[in-house]
Amino acid sequence: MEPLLIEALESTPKIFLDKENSKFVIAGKSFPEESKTFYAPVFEWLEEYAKNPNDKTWFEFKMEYFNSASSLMLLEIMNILNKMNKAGKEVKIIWNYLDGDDDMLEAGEEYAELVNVPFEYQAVEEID
Amino acid sequence: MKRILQLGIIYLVLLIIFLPLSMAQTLDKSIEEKINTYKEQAQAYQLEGNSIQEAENYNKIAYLYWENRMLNQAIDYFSRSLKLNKQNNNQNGIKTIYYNIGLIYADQEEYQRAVENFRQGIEYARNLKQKGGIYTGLINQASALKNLSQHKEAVTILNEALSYAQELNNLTLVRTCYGMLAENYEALGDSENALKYFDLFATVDKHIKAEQIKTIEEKSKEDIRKAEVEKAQSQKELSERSSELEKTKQTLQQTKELTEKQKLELELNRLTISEKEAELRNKRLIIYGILLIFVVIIFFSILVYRQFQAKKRANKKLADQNVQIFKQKEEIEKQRDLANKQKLDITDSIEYAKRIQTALLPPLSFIRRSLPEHFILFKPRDIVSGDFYWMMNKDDKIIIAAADCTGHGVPGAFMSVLGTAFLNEIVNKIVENKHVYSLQANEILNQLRSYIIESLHQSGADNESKDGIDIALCIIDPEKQKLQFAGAHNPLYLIRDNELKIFKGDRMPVSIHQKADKSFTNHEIDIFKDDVIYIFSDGFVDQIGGPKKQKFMSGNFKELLLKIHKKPMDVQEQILEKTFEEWKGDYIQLDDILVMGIKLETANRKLVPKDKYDWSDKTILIAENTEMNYLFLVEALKITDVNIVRAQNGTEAIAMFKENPEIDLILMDINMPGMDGFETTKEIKKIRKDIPVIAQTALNIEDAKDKAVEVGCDDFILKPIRLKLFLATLNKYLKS
Repeated sequence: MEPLLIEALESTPKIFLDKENSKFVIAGKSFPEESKTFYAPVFEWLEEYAKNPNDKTWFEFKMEYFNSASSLMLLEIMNILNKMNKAGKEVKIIWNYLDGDDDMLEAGEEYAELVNVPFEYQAVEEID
Repeated sequence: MKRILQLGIIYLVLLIIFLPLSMAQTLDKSIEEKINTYKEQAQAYQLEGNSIQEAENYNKIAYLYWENRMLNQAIDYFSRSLKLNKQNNNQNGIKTIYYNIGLIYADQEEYQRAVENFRQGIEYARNLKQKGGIYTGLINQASALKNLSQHKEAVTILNEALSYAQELNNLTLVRTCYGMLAENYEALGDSENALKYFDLFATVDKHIKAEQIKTIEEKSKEDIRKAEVEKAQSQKELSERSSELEKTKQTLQQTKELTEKQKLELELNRLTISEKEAELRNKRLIIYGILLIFVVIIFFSILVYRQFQAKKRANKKLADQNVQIFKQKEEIEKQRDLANKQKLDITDSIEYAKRIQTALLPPLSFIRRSLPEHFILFKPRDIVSGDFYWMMNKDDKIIIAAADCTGHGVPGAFMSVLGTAFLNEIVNKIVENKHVYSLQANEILNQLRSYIIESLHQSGADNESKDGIDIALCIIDPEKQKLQFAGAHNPLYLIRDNELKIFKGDRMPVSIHQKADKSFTNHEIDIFKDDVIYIFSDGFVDQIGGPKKQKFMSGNFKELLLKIHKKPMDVQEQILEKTFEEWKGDYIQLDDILVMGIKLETANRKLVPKDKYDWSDKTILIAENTEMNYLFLVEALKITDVNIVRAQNGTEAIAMFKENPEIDLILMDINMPGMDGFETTKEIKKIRKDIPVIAQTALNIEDAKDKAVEVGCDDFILKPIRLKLFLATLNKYLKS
């Protein structure tokens, strides 16, 4: 399966999904004008991946800022991960947040309440 | 003698100054000649008894006067023509003239007369069964009625015009009706209908503009395509021409090489010829040589000349093509400008929406009466906002909310309008059905959630709207010194004894959600002296900026509030705004900003403190023709106990000022019919130079300010009026 790489822009995050090397990252700021259009290829890739996922999927979120429309998109991503988890694969969400950004930590905690996937929280010094 | 000379010079100067002025009032020579010709013709036709042609010439004269702004003369000649047309029973002509006279009166702001003329014209249009004609008359009549503030009558007439526009199946006409209906309902204070018709207006408007833009876009695309084809054609021709040139060059080169070869051959020949023959041959050779050189020179000359000509032609062609391409480019730019204008029109319609949204927010004077010490920092990201604040008084209780709808701009604004309407309805119903003491902050949010889920038909399916509202809602009970709070995502900050306490909102929005069956949590808090509370949307803390382009974050926000919470409320607002702007720097504003701060102790005291202004011994003259604006000013000035006298127009203001020497200050509306505020100020300043005159207008134009200063206004206030600034400005002139 071809990896999906979208470089970060002013209003969109970096996205890197690579089945072969088991690397799944979304990082940066997300406030695109058309959130559905931007996230469409991500959903497409993940739906395809979910048909035949690796045994272990550790998905890294490294968000610095997202608007309310994007927050629904992130939830959609987690819902797909949730499905894989239910299907018996090992899935984990690694929720990175800037050290001191309590709002982002809380946003992660809120997501954790909504999906049945284990969360691991990590304070980081920088979002790359 | 000297004196006479002086007077003479002054007279001359005045003559030079006023001569052009007096001339400016008369007509241009050529137009005057035209009018005279028509007058002569009219006279001739009159003698012949040809009243149809006579009337026709009167019309021409009237139109010329009208075009040149000599309105009374225009009305005069239209009236003459009208009389003749009536004799001839030319109904269409009569209708047109009534409409024209109506328009001229409307132009002169004599709306009553305008209405009468439109009414008569409509009668004739009805007889003629001209739907379009009836529509035009009705719209004009409604517009004049609106200016007479006869909004109810205008609405009746607009409804009829609407039915004609619908019969004519003309969307543009329908749009005009909707827009005017919305305006009249707004003026009537019927916000429900105003909103309804504005919605209709916006829908039709959007449709029309989308169509227009589509047509323009298609035309632009077609033009660009054509231009590209022609450009490709030109380039092709150019490259063909270049290759021809290249060929000519090659031929030239070949000829050159050839002649070199020939020379060599001749040389070789010469060597083989015997010595005896040599002399003779030499001579011949020289002759041949010279001849050959001649031929070669001529040949070269011709070649060079032809090449030069070809190049000239090619250049000319290229230049022509450039001109053509330039023309096409200009045409495309024109189209682009048109598209930009369309975009501007759409922005205008959003600006109109902003007016409605602003009208739905609680007026600051209203909030201030219940919450004397508060601030609201409200900075929408776009023209209209997804954040909104809301307040209602029920008996002694104050219900106040800071809300943040999904998205910003137009989609957010739609939600905010819905939220405002629902909150009003919910609180009113609870109080009606039960009692004000049964009001629960969480119950209001629970009901708001049901309303939104139901009205947006949210069922939880994957691909439907999940739009919702994050909100912080408080119920303040000043009598019992209690505070209730419920939040969706958004918290309440309470600062007491230099400590910031956080009451977290529930982790769910007001909308469909996995936890939508769970009730929101109600927090009950006792109010202590000096308690300050803050409710807000996430726009402030989530703004990216600063040296590392990071979010402001709630940590910094809390620290900042702790630092400033003891300062006066308006100072806190200023500090927050300044901090925000500095943090944002040149980064874009990401979301709407809303922060509200309230000092609870002073909430809704039975006796509203008079602040620091007591003007009970002062008198203000308000010159203002618009009822709404006048009432607003009276409302704003109520707490100062000032005495108010009102004039409806400029002439009245001058008369009242003369009659009431006790007047201490004049608030002057600039846009009054008849004598405007500038003229009136000039006259008043002639009577008493030191009377403070403060101009107020909605025109935010440098010109207006300059003009106000020029005519002698002491100060200038822009509408919409900001209460604090307004009172402070007046105080400057009243305290002495």
